[in-house]
Amino acid sequence: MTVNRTMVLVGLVTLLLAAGVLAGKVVVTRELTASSAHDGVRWQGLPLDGYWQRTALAVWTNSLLTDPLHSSVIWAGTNDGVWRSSDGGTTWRRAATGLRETPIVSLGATTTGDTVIAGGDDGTVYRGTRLREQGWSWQAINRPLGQDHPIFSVAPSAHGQVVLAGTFGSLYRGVSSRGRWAWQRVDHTQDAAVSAIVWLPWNPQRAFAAVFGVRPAVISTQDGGRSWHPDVRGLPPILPTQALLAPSTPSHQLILTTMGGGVWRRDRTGTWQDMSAGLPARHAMPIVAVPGNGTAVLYAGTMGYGIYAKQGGSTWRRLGQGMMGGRYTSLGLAMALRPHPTLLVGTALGVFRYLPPHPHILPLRNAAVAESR
Amino acid sequence: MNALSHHHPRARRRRLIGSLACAVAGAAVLAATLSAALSLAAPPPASQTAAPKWLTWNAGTHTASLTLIADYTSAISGYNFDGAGKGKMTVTVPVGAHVNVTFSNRSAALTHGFVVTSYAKRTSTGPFPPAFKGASSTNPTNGTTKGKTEHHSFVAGKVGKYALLCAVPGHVATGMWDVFQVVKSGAAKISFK
Repeated sequence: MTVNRTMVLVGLVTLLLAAGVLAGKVVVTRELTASSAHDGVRWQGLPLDGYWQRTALAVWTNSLLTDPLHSSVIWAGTNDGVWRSSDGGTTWRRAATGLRETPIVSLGATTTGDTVIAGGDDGTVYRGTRLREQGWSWQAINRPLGQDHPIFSVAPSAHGQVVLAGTFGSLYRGVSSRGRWAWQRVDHTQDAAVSAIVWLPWNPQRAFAAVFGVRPAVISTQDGGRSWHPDVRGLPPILPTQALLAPSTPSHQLILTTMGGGVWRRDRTGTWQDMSAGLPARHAMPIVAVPGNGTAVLYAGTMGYGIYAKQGGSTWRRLGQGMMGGRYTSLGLAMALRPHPTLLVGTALGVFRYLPPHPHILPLRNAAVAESR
Repeated sequence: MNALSHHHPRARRRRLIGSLACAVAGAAVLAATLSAALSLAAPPPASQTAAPKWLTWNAGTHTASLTLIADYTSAISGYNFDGAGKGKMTVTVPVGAHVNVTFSNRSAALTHGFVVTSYAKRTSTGPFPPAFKGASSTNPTNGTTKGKTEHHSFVAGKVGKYALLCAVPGHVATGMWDVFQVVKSGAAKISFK
């Protein structure tokens, strides 16, 4: 009799706990992936209690990119050329056979999705174009820029007629005319790296570039990249800049990450504001945004402190456990939305992906959100 | 009364002077105490302290002792060795020299590591294989945290120009590299631009 009562009590407690987990922590929604109650904020991003898993791509990965047209396609710029996954990072194939063993430092894509630009570690810029049949064709579109300097950042314009490329000390602008590319140095940055470049999706003539460790930390153009000027209102004079992000959201924000100098948001008025609260050591490396219901969810990789996420005015929160230590430094980040929403991070050890704690309850249809980008 | 009236102001003046002297002396003692207390509470920044002797050379044992401190100053946002980066420090040793490296990291936020590798790697993203056996910190890709001091030794076995850089991913791109030269002969030396 006593045993029976105990068993009933244990059963009830178990049922209550299970109900609590399902109701309060991992409730599947129609928006993106899952929502949960954290600090009273309805979280729309990936569940925070997932885990990281190594993918089949185990080469030093410097850059990751989500294909603008196909949210299941991820590009990887590695020390062994360009790789491509068409299933959200599960399997990988070499995407540019001619670039075997060519270290690729940076990646960019046109919004039309038919061109991918890759920056090499020897100053060469490569252009990949989609063939009518399956496959891609790659060619170098410049002589090496600078003296064997890596192309730390590349950014093609929306239709790919203009490519901006940043290296140590210089920002270059390449223009395509009748199949030929003409390059011009459009800005000097002393001996500092141009760590990031981004075109604004809402203004095709405007682009921003971040410069590491010298002033000005950020420069911008209003004439398609021909001339550049400081854009630093609210910023410290010198910053160890890392990445720039211009999410396609109505708020027209621009986000700058730095390696220890904070993460900054530039609002419509042109003023930069610190948004580092919750980030370890005020630093972040690559950053991506995934549109949600009204607000984007931001994901940022760090230098050995794991991956963090942020939504709206909340503080940054740790995404899963692991990815700790310098060798897990996040060098690239990309969001795949098909077949399951997942985040991929490129490191010196290869590409890792984030898996939710209960992958079987994630709905496939939620990927539609990203197609509107 | 006269006498009193004559001596009284003088005595008051003496007392006043005495009080002033005491006050001045007290203020001096207080200032000195405060100054000492402040100097104990906040040590002067690295740039104001005497720099360590970065390199010593023992010709008899053919041994160079090199001190490497990552994030020693705020130069390049802290991504530096002994305050230098982007090739502004050059360590020169003769071929065959035994090099003893004492390595530490001052950054509380980031790990740093060192490796002597091919000069071309200074503009690479990695990996960074050591040019000589033992010419790196422990697990240089992961880096070393603040508070640990590592000792490493290697033999500079081949004449050439090498890069001395931080192998933690992303750090060399900031400019966290310097020059390590192995020459045919002579004494070891270090120079800063």
